[in-house]
Amino acid sequence: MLLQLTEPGQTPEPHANERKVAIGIDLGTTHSVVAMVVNGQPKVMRLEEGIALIPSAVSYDGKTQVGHAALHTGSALTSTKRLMGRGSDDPIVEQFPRAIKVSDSMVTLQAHAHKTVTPVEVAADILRHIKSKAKEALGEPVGQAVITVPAYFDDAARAATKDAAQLAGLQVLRLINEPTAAALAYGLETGAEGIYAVYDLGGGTFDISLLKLEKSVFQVLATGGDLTLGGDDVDHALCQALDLQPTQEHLWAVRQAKEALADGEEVTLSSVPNLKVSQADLEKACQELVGRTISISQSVLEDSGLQANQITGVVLVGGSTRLQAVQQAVESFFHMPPLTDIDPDQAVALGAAIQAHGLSDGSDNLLLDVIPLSLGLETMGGIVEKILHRNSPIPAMAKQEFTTYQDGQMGLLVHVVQGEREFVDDCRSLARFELAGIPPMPAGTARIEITFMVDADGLLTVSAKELTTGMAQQVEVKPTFGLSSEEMASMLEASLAHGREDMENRLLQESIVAAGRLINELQSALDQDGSILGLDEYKSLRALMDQLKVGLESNDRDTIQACHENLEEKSRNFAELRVNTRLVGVSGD
Amino acid sequence: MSEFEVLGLAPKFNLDPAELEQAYFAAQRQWHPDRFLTQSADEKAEAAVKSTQVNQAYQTLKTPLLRARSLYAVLVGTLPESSQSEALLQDMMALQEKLMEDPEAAKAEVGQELDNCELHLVNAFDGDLEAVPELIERYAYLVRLKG
Repeated sequence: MLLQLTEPGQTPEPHANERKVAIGIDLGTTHSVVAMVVNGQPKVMRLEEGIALIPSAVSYDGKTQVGHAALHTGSALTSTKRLMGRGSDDPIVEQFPRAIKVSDSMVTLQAHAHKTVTPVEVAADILRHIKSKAKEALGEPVGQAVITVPAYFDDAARAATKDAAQLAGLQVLRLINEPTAAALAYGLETGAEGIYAVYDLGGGTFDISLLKLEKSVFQVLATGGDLTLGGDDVDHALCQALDLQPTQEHLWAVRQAKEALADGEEVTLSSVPNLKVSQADLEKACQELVGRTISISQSVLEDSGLQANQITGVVLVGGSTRLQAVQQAVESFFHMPPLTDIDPDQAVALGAAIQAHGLSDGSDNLLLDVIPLSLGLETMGGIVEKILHRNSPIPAMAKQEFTTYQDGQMGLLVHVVQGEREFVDDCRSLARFELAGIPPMPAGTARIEITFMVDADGLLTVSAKELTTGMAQQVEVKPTFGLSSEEMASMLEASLAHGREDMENRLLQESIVAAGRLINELQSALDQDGSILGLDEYKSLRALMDQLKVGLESNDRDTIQACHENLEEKSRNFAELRVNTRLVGVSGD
Repeated sequence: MSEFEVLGLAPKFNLDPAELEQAYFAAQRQWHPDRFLTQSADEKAEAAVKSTQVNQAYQTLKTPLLRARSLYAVLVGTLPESSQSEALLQDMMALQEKLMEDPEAAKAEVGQELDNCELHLVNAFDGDLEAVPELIERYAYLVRLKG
């Protein structure tokens, strides 16, 4: 512990220091939900105007706003969970008009004119908001959380989620899979035993997990999913079917129509007069998505070696399971009506809360989860050698020996990939590192042992060791797509002293925005009417403008303001001249 | 430590799946990292290792082929070596041919052969250890043919 709050020699209150409130957070694509255990019962927290669902939306106009407040600005970033751990060549990036491809591995989003944010920072802002709202509601700080992730989240996306929590100052007790969390809530609520399928279709992701439920054991048998499949896609498909541009406004309108159609046959779109949407339109828009979820369900069933008739029940989770088309397809695939006696929006958060409570206070529940995607290495010819197979229970470990293929080979390039396909190019690249300094030996005699370890959060560590010399190297697999550790360190530093920092940051952001506006205005004025100035004055304004631009890079508010004021003052003459010339021009016409 | 020891099971091939599962759950109840979140770093590390071993042992014993290899190692002290059996090779080549001619029928036959082989393994482990390596090899071939 870095901070000891009590005086030396004084005995602290029992647990006063280390005991922190632990909550469960369902960090969803469209909404986030928070829950905690109160008097032994998991309860959803209504942190925003008495509502449980907090929109996963953040806006950055001058100040950072989250949730409903962010949506009201009309410029909020939404659904950014779909970008967690994604590279810039990922097709999903195309759905984000404000995405900027910084590098192969990095996507940022245009938050406003002079600010870009990473998807991790957006998630951190949502978590920070939740943390402070929960503190307000409880009257004590919240330090720990169980955060849920889609079961099908790959290593990069899981690492990104953990980074976000760290930035928000939340200790992650455990990352757990959304369907597993829902099964926990459902199983404890109903006392269900047997093999259950949890079909989880949210705003942006689809998961299906098969679990064995038995006397407080929740064993995942197989899992599958698609990270680019969710209610958002229905909205896009519906826009397309109605010949509407997928603008934020239209997407919002069709989403409302979609929700209204859960118990109606036809509705009129709110923002587009005279445009009606029928149940049939919606069904058509859902068709492809629903078909894909069913074929994924089919392969997960095959993976588990089970037949559909061995399933005891199907639990529906995620807001998109309210769609009639989804319920019908699930019923016909599993030959039984799905169970709807649990709120599909709340089950995941409730399960996370139960687990948060269990992890901090002890419990009989045992969650046995698996890795969703195989993990492997690139070998000769771009072929993937799988080291850990999908659906292996975690924590997991596997080793494989490799050798050198050239005489005197001193290094070995290790390329870690995730996915089921045979060729590296079809899999997700997680990390590359080099095991250097192998002593010179004839080809085929070095013995290099590569070990894969996946911890209980589902995060991978890879280590390599040359066995004849014992030389070892270890990497935590996050550099390719997550933040580098230096980036992480500097972001952490920036977010350490929160309250003060936040305020200063806001003032800084405001000064940056204002300076940016001045530069833009002056720039276009000079382009238009620069000729009315003498050469010296023109040059001096240009120089002062450059000075302000340099000042902007300093990220120091005082510097920026000083340059800003200077430029404003020195350009006053130009502004007056312009007005006069314009007036002359106008009257002369 | 053998996989059987990790799960506290008596070494045998004819393992009741329910018995294996209960042993697995009991071992994870003891060692799963979720139970050690408030413990010291050393205890956490030990639990992580033990829990991983428990998972590995469960995966091994759940799969007949891997279970047979593990049991052979327990009983004999080494892993089974290739039998170089001519008869085995002939059988497998015949099956391979059938797979190309009539995949449906051949798949069913492979399934049947797997069941037979498993039964033979049960008997061999009961008293005829010398027959085990060839049966394990046969089983491995069949699993590969099944795809």
